[in-house]
Amino acid sequence: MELPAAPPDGGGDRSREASAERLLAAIHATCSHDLPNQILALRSLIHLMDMDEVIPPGAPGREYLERLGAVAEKTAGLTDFLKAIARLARVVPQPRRVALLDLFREAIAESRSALEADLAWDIGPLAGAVFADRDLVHAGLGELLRSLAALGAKTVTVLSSGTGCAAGRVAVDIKVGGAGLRVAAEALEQRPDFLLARERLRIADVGLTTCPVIAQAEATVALDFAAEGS
Amino acid sequence: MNEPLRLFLVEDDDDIAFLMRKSLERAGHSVTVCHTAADALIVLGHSQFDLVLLDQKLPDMSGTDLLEGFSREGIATPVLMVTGVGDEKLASHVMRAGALDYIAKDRALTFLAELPKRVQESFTRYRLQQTNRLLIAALESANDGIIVTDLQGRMQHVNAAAERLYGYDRQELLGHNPRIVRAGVHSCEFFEEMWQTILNRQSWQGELVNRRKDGTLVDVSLAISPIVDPQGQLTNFVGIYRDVSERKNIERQLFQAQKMQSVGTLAGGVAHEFNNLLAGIQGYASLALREKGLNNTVREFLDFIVQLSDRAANLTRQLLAFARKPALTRHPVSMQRLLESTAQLVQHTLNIEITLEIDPAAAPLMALADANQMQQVLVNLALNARDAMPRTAIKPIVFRLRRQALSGAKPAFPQNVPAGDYLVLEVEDYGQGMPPEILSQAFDPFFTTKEVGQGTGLGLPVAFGIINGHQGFLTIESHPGEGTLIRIFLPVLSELAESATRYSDDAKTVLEPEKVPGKKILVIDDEPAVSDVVRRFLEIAGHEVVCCTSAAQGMEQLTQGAFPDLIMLDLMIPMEDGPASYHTFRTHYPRIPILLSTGMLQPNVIEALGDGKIDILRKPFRMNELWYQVNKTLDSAEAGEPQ
Repeated sequence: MELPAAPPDGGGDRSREASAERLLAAIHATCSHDLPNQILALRSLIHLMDMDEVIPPGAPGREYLERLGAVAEKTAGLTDFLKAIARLARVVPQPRRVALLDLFREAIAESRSALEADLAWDIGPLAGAVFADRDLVHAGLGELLRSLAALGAKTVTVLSSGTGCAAGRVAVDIKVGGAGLRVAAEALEQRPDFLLARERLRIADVGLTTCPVIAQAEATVALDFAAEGS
Repeated sequence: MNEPLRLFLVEDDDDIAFLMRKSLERAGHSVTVCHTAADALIVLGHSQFDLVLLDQKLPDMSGTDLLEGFSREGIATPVLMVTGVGDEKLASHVMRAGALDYIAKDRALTFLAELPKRVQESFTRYRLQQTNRLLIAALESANDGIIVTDLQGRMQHVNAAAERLYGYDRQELLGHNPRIVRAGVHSCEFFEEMWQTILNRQSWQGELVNRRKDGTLVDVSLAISPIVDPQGQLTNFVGIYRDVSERKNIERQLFQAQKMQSVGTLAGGVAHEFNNLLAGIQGYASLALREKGLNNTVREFLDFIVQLSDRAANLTRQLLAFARKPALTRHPVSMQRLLESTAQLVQHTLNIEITLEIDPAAAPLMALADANQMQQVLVNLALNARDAMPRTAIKPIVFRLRRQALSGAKPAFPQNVPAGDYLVLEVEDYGQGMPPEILSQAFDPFFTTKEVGQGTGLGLPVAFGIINGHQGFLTIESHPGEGTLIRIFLPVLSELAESATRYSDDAKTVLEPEKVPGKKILVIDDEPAVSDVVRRFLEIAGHEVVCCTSAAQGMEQLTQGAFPDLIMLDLMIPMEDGPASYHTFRTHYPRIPILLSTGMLQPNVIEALGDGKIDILRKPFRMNELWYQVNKTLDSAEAGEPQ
C-alpha cells in the first residue's frame, strides 16, 4: 500500500516505522470509534423515528422510513467487521513454536461451536512444528472455516502438502467438499469473513491461496507457515 | 604414557646435561642440549621446542637475564628453570620473569628421578594456561555478549561485548543477577519457563527486550546453556546475548508494511459496502423529504439522517484516504456553494462559541473539482483552526473566496505558486499560530500536535495531496500568537460556470429535476437499496427504469432486444469484473451510453477502464447529483461525443 504523499520539504526525521504506527493508530481510531459511532447514531435515530411513529403508518414517507430501518440494520452488520479491522491495526503477533497438529486441532475445536453448519472434519497426520502466533492463526482459521461453511462446505480435510512451498515454509492443504458446494476462489474473495481470515493470517505470516474449483463439489485452500527455526 | 616432548636443555655442565638428557629420553622425550646463552638464543630463534630447561648459572649470562633475552627476541617457548637448592628467593624471581616453574638441582642428583614428572607437569600446566588464555581471548573477542552465571543467576563472568551491549562496566555486573537489564516487557511466566528449561539441563533460546544502563531498550537474541562438570553436576549457566535490534527494526518495518497492506485491503472492502448502504440511507431520506405533508419535526429528523450519513460517508472516505490514495472524480463545482455547504457542516461540529464567517467573492467562481474531497479539505482545515483557538480569546474562523491573477510566481511555503489565473480559497484563524519549527513539520504525513483519535481531520499532508491532485497549490502562513492563514489556489474554470449551476452540493436542498424527456435506463447494481433508490430517483425525473443485480443479467436484457437509452453500471458487483463488464457493453452496444457508479474508486480500476471518456458517479450520491450525471451522460451521447 502507498502512504499518503508527503510534500517535498515535509517529512521530518522520524522513521517510517513510527509514521506507519501513527497511521495504523488513526485507522484504529476511525474503525473502532468514529465510524461505528456515526452508524450507531444513524441506527438509533431511525429506530427512534420508527418507535415514536413520527411518521404514522400509512402516512406519507412511512414506507421510506421502514426501508431506512432495513438498510440501517444492514449497516450495523458491518460494524463488527470495522472493529475487526481496528483490532488488526493494533495487533502485534507473538510467534512461537507450535506443533502443527495441535494448531489445527485447537483451531477447529474452537471454531466448531461458532459454526452454524455442521461440518465433518478430518485432520491428517500433520507432523512437525511451525513458528506462528497461535491466537491470530486460530482466529484466522475460524473465519476461514466460517466462510467455507457459508458457501456450502460439508466436509473439511486438513492435509500436509509437500509440494509448492518455498524453503523454510510448511505447506498445509485444506480440502473442502460437499454436494452443492459453491466454493470458487471468486466467491470466497467476496466474503468479508474470508478477507478478514486472509489478512489476519497474512499478518501472522501464514500464506493463503485458494485454488479455483476443481469440480463442482471440491475446492482447496492452501496454507503455508513459517517453518520452525526458519 | 606421557606425550613425547621436544625439549631444549641449556646447561653448561656436560655431566649434568648428559644425565638430565638421559633421564628425559628414557621418559620418551627428545632433548637438544646447548651450553651457552648465546647458542641458546641462536637455536631458539630458528627452531621450535615444546619446553626449555634453563640452568641459572651459565658461563656467558645468568638464566634470569637469558629469560629477559628470550622476551626481547620474541621467543615464546615456555621455560622450566633449573636452580641451585635453597635459592628460593631466586626461584620466585625467575617465576616473575616469566618462567613456568623451577626445579632445584641437589648435589646428590636426586632431582633427576623426578625430572621427567616435573617436566610433564609443567608442560601440562603450560598447556592449560594457554588454553585458558585462548578461551578468555575468544570470549573477549566475541561480538556477542557472553555472561556466565552461577546456579542462582549471579554473574560470574562478563565479556567485553556484554559490557558494550548493556553499557555497564563488568564490575557493575559481576555478582548481580541479569535481571538488572530487564525491561519489564516480558511476563513472569516468560522467565519462569526460561528457568524451568535451564534447570532441567536443557538449552533455552529466545528473543527478549532488555534495558541498557542508559534506559534505552535493546532487542536481544539469547541462548542459555547449562554447564555440567565432569562429575555430572550442574555448576553454571552460560548465556550468549546478541544484539538483534537492527534485524528486529527491519522486521518491524516489514511487518508494519504488511499490516498496512492488510488493513488497507480490508478498509477498501468495507468502504465499498458502507458507501452502498449509505447511498441507500441518503436516498430514502431524500425521497422521504420530498413527501408532502411532513411536519417540521419529521423534516428535522430526516435532515439529521442525511447529515449523519454524510459524516459517515466522509469518515469512510477518510478511512480510504488513510489506507490508500483516493482517486478523484471532478466536476465543475461552484466554490461559493461548496463553501456555504461546508460552513453548515462545520458549524455543527465546531465549538458552539466559535463562529465561521464567509467572505464571498464578488462574482461566481467555478473550479473543476471533486466536491467531496474539497469539502473534506475545508472541513479539516476548519477543525484544525478550531483546535488552534485559545478558549480565552475566541474569534471567528474565516472562509474567504476570491479570484487572483498572478503575473509572476508567488513565493510561499511550502511551495511557490506559479503565475496564472486562480480561484483562491482561504481559511484563516486568529488562534495560537505555529512557530517555525512546528510549521516546518506541518506537512509531515503523520505529524500532529493532537492525540491520535482526537484529530478528526486528514491533516495538512493529505489536504496537500488532494489539492495537488486538482493541479492546485496550498500555502500556509503562520505566526505564533497571531494565527494561521491557509490558501488554496485552484485553476479558475470560467467557461463551464453556466452548466455547473445545474448541480448543487447542498444536501438539504430538495430540487426538482430538470424537465427532460423520459428515457429508458437500465440500472445494474447488486445492492437492492441502491437500485431501489436509483429507480425511484430516476422515476421522479420521468425516466423508465429496469433494474438488474448483475452485469450478466443486464446483458441478457439487451440480448433479448430491450435496448435502454442509458446503462448505469455498478463497478463492484460480486463475482464480476466491473471494468471487464464495462468493456463488454462498450464493445457489443457502442451506442448506448454508460454511467458508472462505485462505492470505492481505485486507481487500478480507472486504469482498467481505459483512456476513453468515462462518466462516474460516486456513492453515496445525492438525488440531484444523480439527475445531473444522468442528463450529462445522455446529453454527451446525443451530442455524439465518443465515450
